Formats: sequence, C-alpha cells, structure tokens
Amino acid sequence: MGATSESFQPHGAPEGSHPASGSVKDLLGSAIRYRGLPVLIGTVILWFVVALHSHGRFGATLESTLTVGAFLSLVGLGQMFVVAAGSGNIDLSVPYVLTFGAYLAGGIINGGSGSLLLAVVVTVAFGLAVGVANATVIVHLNVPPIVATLAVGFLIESGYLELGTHQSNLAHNASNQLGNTVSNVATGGFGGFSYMAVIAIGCVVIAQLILWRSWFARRLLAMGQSLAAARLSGVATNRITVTVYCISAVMAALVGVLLGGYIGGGSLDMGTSYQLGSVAVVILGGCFISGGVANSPGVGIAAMFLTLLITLTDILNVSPGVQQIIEGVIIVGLLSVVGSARNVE
Amino acid sequence: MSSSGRAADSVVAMGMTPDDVVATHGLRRAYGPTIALDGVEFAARAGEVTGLVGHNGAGKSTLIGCLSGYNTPDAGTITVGGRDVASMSVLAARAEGIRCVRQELSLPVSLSIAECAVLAYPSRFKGLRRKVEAGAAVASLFHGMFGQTLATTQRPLGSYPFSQRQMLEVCLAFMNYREGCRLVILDEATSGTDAELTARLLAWMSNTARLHNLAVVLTTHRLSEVVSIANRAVVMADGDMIATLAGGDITEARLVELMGGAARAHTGAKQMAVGGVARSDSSGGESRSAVGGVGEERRTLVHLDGVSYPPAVRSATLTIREGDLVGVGGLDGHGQAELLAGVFRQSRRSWFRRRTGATVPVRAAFVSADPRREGVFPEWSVRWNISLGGRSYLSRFGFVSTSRERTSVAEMVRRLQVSGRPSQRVSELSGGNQQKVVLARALMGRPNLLILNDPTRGIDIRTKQQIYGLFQELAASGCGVLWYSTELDELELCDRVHVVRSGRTIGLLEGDEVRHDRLVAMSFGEITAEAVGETAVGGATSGRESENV
Repeated sequence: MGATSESFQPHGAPEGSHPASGSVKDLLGSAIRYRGLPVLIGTVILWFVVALHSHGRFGATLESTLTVGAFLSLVGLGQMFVVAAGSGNIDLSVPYVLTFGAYLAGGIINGGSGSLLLAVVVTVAFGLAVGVANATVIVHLNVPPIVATLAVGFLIESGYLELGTHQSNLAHNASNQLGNTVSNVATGGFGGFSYMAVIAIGCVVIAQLILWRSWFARRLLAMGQSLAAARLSGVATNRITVTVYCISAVMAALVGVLLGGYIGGGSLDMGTSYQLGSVAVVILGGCFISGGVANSPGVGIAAMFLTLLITLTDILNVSPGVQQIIEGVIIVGLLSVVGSARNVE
Repeated sequence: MSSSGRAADSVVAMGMTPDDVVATHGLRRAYGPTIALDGVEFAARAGEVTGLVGHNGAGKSTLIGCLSGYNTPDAGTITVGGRDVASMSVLAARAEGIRCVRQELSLPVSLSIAECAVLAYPSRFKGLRRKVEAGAAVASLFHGMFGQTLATTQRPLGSYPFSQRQMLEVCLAFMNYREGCRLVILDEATSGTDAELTARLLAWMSNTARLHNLAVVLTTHRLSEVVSIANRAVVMADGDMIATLAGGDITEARLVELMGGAARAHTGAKQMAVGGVARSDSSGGESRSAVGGVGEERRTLVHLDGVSYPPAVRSATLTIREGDLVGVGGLDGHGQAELLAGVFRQSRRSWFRRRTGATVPVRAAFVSADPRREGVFPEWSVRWNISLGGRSYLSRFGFVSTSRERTSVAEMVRRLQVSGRPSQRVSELSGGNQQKVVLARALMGRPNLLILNDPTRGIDIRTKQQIYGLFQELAASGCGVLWYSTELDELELCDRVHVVRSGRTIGLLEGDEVRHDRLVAMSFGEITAEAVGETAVGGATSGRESENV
C-alpha cells in the first residue's frame, strides 16, 4: 500500500488550477462566443429600424415590445426547460394549455364575481396535471415527445371546444371575464414600465439563476447532454422529465390567464402562434435544440426579436403572405448564424 | 517456446508457398494507444483449417477484419491472389473468394436467406427463378452441412432465433465452395450452436476444405472445436502471434498453457503498469480487513445468489463486502456489462437491501468504459462535471454551494492528478483525463460500492497505474469495488475474480489462484471449475516458472 499512497501525493498537482482571472481579452472572447449574441444584434437592428419608422420613438418602441414580447418570453422559458432535457423533448401542447388556462380562469373569476386566488390555484393545478400527463405518456408509454404532447394538446383542445359549444358563455361571452385585476396586471404599469415587462424580466433572471446555481438545472442539463452518463451518475431522469413538463404547462396556463386579461377574454385561437413561437425563441436564444445547453436571457431577447419582426412587417404594410415570407427568411438566416456559432465553440 | 513458434511461422511467411490463399507480412494496427496488431505474419493455407485462438484483445478480430476487408491496417502488406496490397475493401476481398461470418452477424433481418443468397452471389443466381434456385441451393447445402432439412428458405431472417441465423450465415458463406470460394473465416460463428450440430458442421468443413482445396480460419471460445478439426492452431496475445501448433500438438491443455503463459510473457509493458502497484496477496488482504472493518468483520454490500437480469445475465452469484476488490472476468460480451448495470440499478432502489442481503445502506457509483459516450458532459467545465456527483453535501436549499464546490473539486482534481484546470471545458481533455474526471465524479458521491465497467480501456499506461493505485486505496479504506476488466493483468490485482460465461458466473478464483493461466482456462472452452482443477497440474509448471522469475 505504501507505493500506492505515494503515487497519489499531491506533488503532481497541476499549477494554475484556479480559473484564469477575467482579463478584458477573456471577457471579449466570451462575449463573442456568447450564443445569445446573434439574436441580440438582430434585435438591436430591428429596434432601430422600427423606431426610425415610428418617428424616432425609441423608448416607446422598446416598452411596447417588452410588453407584447413578455407573453412569448414566458411561454418560451417553460419550453426552454423542456428542450434542455434533450432526447427530443419538446412541448407542443403549449397553445392548448394556454387557451384552456384562459377559459378556466375566466370561468372561475367570471367577470370579477369569483375568487382570483382560486382561479390561479386551479390554473396552476391544471398545468401540473397536464405536465404529469405529458411526461407519463412520454416516459411510461414510450411515445416520442413530439407526438405525445400533440396528442395531450388535442385532448385539451377537444375539451374547450366541447365546453364552448355547450356553454355559450365560455366561448362567446368571454369578454372581460377575467376581471379588472388581471386586466390591470396585463395592460397596466408603473413609472413607464409595464407590469408584464417587469414580470418577464424577473422570470428571465430567476430562470437564469436556476440554470447557474440549482442542482435541478445541473441534473437537467446533464441529462440533456448525455442521458446515459446522467443515469450512470445517479440522476433520476424520469423525475426531471416530469418536472420540466410541469414547468412548461404551468407557465403556459398562467400566460393564458394574463393574455386573456390583455386581450379582454379568451379566444379559441389565442394560443396558435405560441406553438412554434415558443420553440423558435428557444433556438434563436442560443439553446441547443438537442438539449443540455440553455440560456434564459437569450430566450427573452429572442421573444423581443420575434415581436419586433411582426411589428416591422405591420409597419411596412405588406400583404400577409409577404409578411410571412420576410419573417421566415429572417428567422432562417438568424438560425444559420446561431448554428455556425455552435460550430465555432 | 514462443520464439520457436514465431520462427516456424516466419519461414512460412517468407517463402509464401503456393498453398497460401492469404498471407500477411508485418501487419500493424493501433487504436489510439492500444496496439491491436503488432507485426503479424499470418497465413491461411488452401485445404487446411486454421484455428485462431487468444484471449480478449489479443488481436484476433482485428486480424480477421484486415483479411476480410473490414479493417484497414496501419502498416504491412497482405498477399492475396499473387499480389501484395496494403489493404482491401470488403468487395475486393469477396472478389478474391474470401468470405467472413462475424460473431455479431451481418445479414439484413428483413430479407430471407434465399434473397441474401441472390444478393451475395449475383453471378450465380440469375433470371426470373433466381430466388427459387437460390433457395434450393441453400437448402441442399444446409442439409449437407448440418444434416437438417430447412422447412423454407423464404422466411425473413429476423424470424429465426440467433443460433439458426448463425447457421444460415455460415451456410451462405460456403455457398460457392465448389468453385470461386477460396477462404472462409468464421469469427465465433458457432457460439450459439449446440454441440451436436457444431460437430456435424466441423466434420463437414474439415472434409470440404480438404476435398475442394479451401482454406478455413476459425476462431472460437470452445477450444475443443479447434482441437478436433484444426490442421494448425495459431495462438495470439497482445497483437502478436506467439505460437503455431500443428496436427497432434494441438491439445486443449497446451493451448491454455500457451495463452496463459503468453499473456504473462508478452505483457512486459503492462506488467510495469501493474507492477508499480503492490499486489495485495493474502497478507495484504488481512491488513486490509483490519483497516476496512473498523470494529470487526466487514459488512456485506451485495450478495447475489443466482440472480438473473434478463436477457443477458442468467445466473449471477457473487458477494461484495466492504473493502473487497472483486473482479469480473471472462471473454468479452458474455453478460459482464449487463451484470454490472443490474447491480448498479438495484443498488439504487430501497428494496435492494432486503432482496440481496446487504447489511448497510449502499451508495453505489458507476464508471463505464467509454467516457466520451457514457461519462462526461461535453459542454461543461471539469468543475461542473465533477461536482455533479457530490450534490448531497454541496447543496444549500437545492442550490449549489459554489465555495464548497470549488474547494472539494480542486481537492479531487489534485487527488486524481487530472491534468486540466477545473474551469476548462472537459471535452478539451484527453480520453484518459476525461476518464479521471468521471472517476472523480463517482468519488464525489463518497460511495461505498464502486462499480467499474472496464474503466481503463484505451488509456495510457501511466494513467492506468494511477487508477490501479486509486482502486486499491479505495478498497483499503473500506469501499467495495466490483471491477470488470478485459485485461488479465488488471484482474490479477483483485482479491477474487468471478469468471462469467454465457451470462452465468461459472467460477470463482481467490487469492493465489487469481492468475493468468487460471483465468484463461476458465474463460475458455468446456473447462469447468472441476476440469480447471485437473489441468492445474499441467498449468502449474508454467505458473511455478513465472513465480520463480
């Protein structure tokens, strides 16, 4: 044993085992390698273009973008956690959960006569139930996530379509069903800041703290990079899968409530643009679609980017077909830059 | 004896007789730091059955790959059809009449054997009725080979059990034995076939080779097959041919002795790797038990009694106590990896203790053979990779305590001598250092049971030596270690070794018995635990010799 312990004396410890101190060069290097950089640059450019078109109102443009983009960024954050789990995990049930959440809360609040707290609790519980359902189908029935979440989503959609035909008040008389409190949060603000922007920025910061520091995120990102290695390191991967789908569904359901308040009630197609939109912001924001790398500020900025893009095509007053072509070309172009950034790393 | 064997062989190689279908000269092939072939001079002669034997990693499969076009050698030449070539493609090899049946089988499962025959021999089966003709040809050949009638030749291969598919693939390889075919290589192609059918096949091959001037090369883990039909037996070890036996000299005892002794004689470099670490024989074992069981006897961590983990592990019996360094040996691919995975899975469940009679809570950690695929998280720094293992005590309200993370990772990096900064991306490190990172993560969990699936595969000698020391140190501190290795030298470091064959723990070697020759004898052939006891008389000579050295 003598020889053994000798070979493990620390005399061979490598020098400089401390991380290199952050010189300007290092900082610059890491900024260039930052995977959220392309979308950040794109957003700034779009911001300038849109602001110049609206007579140089930079502040107002930024504020409205933050408010409108907040909804997408919140749904995108939920999607980010799902995608980070890797193995093709993706939550396509988002738009249906969002819409159902709006109707559910609207039915309970019923224009201000019901309890707001109860509505929130029920909406969260609904989100958790959907998350568990999604994860159960994926993990235990071994259905690919893309199919499983669509199937669960269609079940939910059938639910609110059915409710809509029988209880006409749900689908048609939904205007301002969510009450003044929710509307105020969704549309109001203080000191030049909308509440929605504050909520979105707060959630981005919290999500990033979770990604940096929590053991949950460490295990999640580990699983996303290598499922086999994570399992062999003792990560309970099924439990993580359930958690991320719950996060995504709860976020979507709560955004549904806020969006309902913003547009003055639920509508059957209110969630449509969030299905691909939530996935797009995750990828544009610099997360790996294959999982294992997530970037919460990038997702927030990407949500602003998409919002600005839609604003721009509105301003340009082009036909809807051309609008979609412009959007498509710009997103593909940006994605190719994000993709090449990965290769440089 | 090895020198005489090689001399005899080089004579064959130098003046290549017209009988040689294929000959290799100075064939070399390395995979990273591992040298799979080290200047091999091999020849397959027409009309002869050549048995090719050797332990795991001896280089048999690589050599066969080079002969049949699957592998490209780094250096050396292959003489085939009167020409010297540096390497061959599979198609070129087939054009020379070389056919190979590989252990893992290679025919598409959705096709029938008749369709495969049409595809494999397009010039022989033509026209509208080619499938029927091919089917008839396969059926008659199959009957000749195995004495059995094929009900149909049109069923998809996937619907047959593994052993039947093996027989059909062997049959397909010999389709053109009357003309065109010159060399058939069978790489463990009889592993699933029962004794009677194998005997028929061997007899048929022996006759056919002689009558039609065909060369056959056979690798098998059943030495009796080589003994019964081979005209020549070539023994390989560590990428080199160490002996060539002919005719009556080929006996099981002799082959086992050669492989065991050879493994020892030819591992000078590896011996150095192991040699730096004092083997804990009986005396070491005692001192360890004194260290391990602080109070008294060491407590049981795992006690399996005939446990099966379907489908690969059929019956496993083993006990690991605190401070035990338990080896798992045998030929690669006999269920060892599945056994370790099963133990790891179970040890993470609460009912494990009840089911397996463990007397303490088990904290198991697993290290696999391939850090790149099953070990590191490539996007992360060394620090994050390592600290993941220690989340039970580096945690504050579910969040990472970064100061404690830094200090404990730095300590682990020092202890394992990982050459890399903790802030460095783990994918920038070499394979050996990545494996150290995986080990460090395993140790961060302060395990009392460490499960190792061939952890030193493809790692350089210096790193290996460090890792051996670490394992022994861990065992001395009371951690149970379950260590599967494909290298005999490593198994010699263990207190005892379970030899696994066909998913069963067929034998246990303890203390002084943990030696190359015994491991080889147990891994191979029908030599059961009792038979090993008998051959030990013959093997003892070589064992004693090496002790004297």
